[in-house]
Amino acid sequence: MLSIKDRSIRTKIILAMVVLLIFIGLISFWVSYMHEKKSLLTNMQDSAITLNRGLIISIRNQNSIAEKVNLQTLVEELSLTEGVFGVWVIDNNSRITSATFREQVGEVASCCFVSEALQEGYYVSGFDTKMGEEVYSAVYPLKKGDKIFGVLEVAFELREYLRAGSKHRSRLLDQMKRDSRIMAESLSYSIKNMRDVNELIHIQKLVDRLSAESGIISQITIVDDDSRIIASNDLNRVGMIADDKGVRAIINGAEIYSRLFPREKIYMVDIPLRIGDEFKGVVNIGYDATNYYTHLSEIFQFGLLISCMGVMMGILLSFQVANPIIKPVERLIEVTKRLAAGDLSQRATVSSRDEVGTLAGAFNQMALDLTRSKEEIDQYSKTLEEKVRQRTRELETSNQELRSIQNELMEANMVKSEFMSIASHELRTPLTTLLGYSELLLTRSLTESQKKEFLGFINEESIRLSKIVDDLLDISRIESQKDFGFTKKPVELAEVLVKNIKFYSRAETGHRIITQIEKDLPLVNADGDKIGQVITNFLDNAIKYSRGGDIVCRAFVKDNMVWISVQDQGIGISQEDFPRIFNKFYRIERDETAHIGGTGLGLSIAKYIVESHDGKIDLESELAKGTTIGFGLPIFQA
Amino acid sequence: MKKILIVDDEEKVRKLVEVTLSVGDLEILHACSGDEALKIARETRPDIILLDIMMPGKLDGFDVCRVLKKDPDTKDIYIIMLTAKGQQDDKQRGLAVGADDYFVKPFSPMELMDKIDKVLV
Repeated sequence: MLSIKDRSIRTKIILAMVVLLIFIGLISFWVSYMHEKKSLLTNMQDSAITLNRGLIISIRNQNSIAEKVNLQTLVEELSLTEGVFGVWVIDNNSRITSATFREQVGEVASCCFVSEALQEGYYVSGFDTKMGEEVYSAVYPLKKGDKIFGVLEVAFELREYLRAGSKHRSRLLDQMKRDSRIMAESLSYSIKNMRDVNELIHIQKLVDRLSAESGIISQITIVDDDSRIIASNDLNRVGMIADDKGVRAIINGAEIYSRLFPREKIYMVDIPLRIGDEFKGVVNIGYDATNYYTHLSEIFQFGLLISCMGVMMGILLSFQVANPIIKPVERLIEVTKRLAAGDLSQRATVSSRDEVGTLAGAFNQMALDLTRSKEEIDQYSKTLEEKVRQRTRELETSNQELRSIQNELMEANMVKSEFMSIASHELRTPLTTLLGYSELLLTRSLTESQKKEFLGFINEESIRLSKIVDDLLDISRIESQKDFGFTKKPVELAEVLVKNIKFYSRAETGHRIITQIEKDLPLVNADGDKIGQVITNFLDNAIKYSRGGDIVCRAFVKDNMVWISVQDQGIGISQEDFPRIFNKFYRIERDETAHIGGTGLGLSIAKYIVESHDGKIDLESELAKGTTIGFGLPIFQA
Repeated sequence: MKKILIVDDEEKVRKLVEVTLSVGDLEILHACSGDEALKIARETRPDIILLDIMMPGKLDGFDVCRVLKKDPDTKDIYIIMLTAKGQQDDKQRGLAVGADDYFVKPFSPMELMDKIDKVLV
């Protein structure tokens, strides 16, 4: 079950309308029902009051209702006397005022003795038939002064008289006469205080007539001021005490008291019976409320029908009411969903100026803002992307630079430690020879030729050691950027070349060294010794890195420079080694160069020396074919 | 007669060792590269190899030592590294590949002789 919270606005509105309509319907139904009920009751009350008024007029002349009741009581007491069949009090209109048989009250007495007694004013008695029974009836006139206001009739049973013999019969008759006379006199005496029996009207008859004639009065009771029922449509109740709420209320001073008995369908109205200002008793009228209930049920059914129709109409109406509210909201929801899905071009239609219209307006503003900020974000992210890309490129470039610097540094470092290792090895190798052979010379007895050979070894290795030390010192100077101490003067390069070649004998090197020198070479301004060192280095390399083959040394002029070049037929230098061979400590590492010693400093020193003379170094090489390396110094201008 | 193989690319050094050890009753064999050293060592089974580290060719002294010490036939040969590589790292590396002793150039021929005498006793 969905709770009301989760239902759509449409359902909520419809529910609200229906509930409201049901409420209104029920209220109006209730109001009309109550109104109808009240008016019906009022009608009955009014009729009760009218009836009461009629009653009051009818019994206006009666001074005391109580007297009449007393008379009836008296009659009933007398009736209890042994042998008495019945007692009647009849007024001067021959109407029965009180009787042993209550139902006869109000009726016209039919007995012939009564009219005789009334007309003649004396005691009359004789045999009679009452209610199908043989009786001896005695009628005794009731007088006030000379005026006869009624008669008392006493009827004796004749059963004993009829059973008795004739002797007895006359005695019994006498006794009956006497008894009836005593009874009538005593009764007459008892009621002598009654002002006027004539005034007693036959309320019981009135009551009977009323209840018989009226279709709607189902019960009518008249109670005296002592709560004793003096007349009732139910004769059995006459003389009883009415212990009734309404009666008590009226006796206690209420003007009217009415109530409904739904089960019995009776509407009871109690009204005080007043003659003049004197309170005489209570009139209690019970109306038959069947019609009333039938009527109410009709009204109820009709009201229910109207309510149902109201609910139906309410539902229909609420759709009519809900749609104009819901439709724009639904449209707005649709647009919002599409916007949320990413279509920023969505706009709501503003069709009214109510809250929904305002909402649509605000929505449009929001969508506009959203579009704008998305554009800004897009723009910003584009710019950002571009920036990031640029920054990344820059970083990559600088990373690459750093990487290459790092590589260079690592390479330099490796080259340097390699150099340390090499330098150590290069120094230790000649030292081994020096130390070893000198020890042998000192400790062993050797032949002369051995001695000479060993001293030769020592000499060679000393020169080698000296060269290595020279190189190390040179590179140390270059490293610490100290003045190399060039003593430059105009020199002939060819002369320097020739002088240095002299140190290389074919026997020693295993190479033939050929010189090709141009004639009349110009002078250059140079330090002869240092330039000689460059030439020696070139020659050493040519010898070291080639196995046999001629070495050609040339001296020539080119581009205003005097050039010296050394060409070998050695292992050559690969293209990748080209830029590095002038680096300090760099040595070409190939299988065929592994046995070749050297510090890797010669070319580096040579380059420094040539560049210090404003000269250039030129290198041409092909793997396995040979290398030509040379340098050019500017022609000396005197 | 005990055999000693001297491996060094410097002829002067080989000669020095040969002369130094010439006083004893020893056969001196020469090799000037790693390949040659392996070949001779397998053929002749010398008692001692004096092994230089930095040599021309594909195999250096460390390689030669490792190969010989792994081979059950040659692992008992007493190998003395004889080298100008005198740094601590190099010494450790030499011992790691199985060298029995380590001599740093320049060396005293007399000390070398004493060492060899001790090994051969």
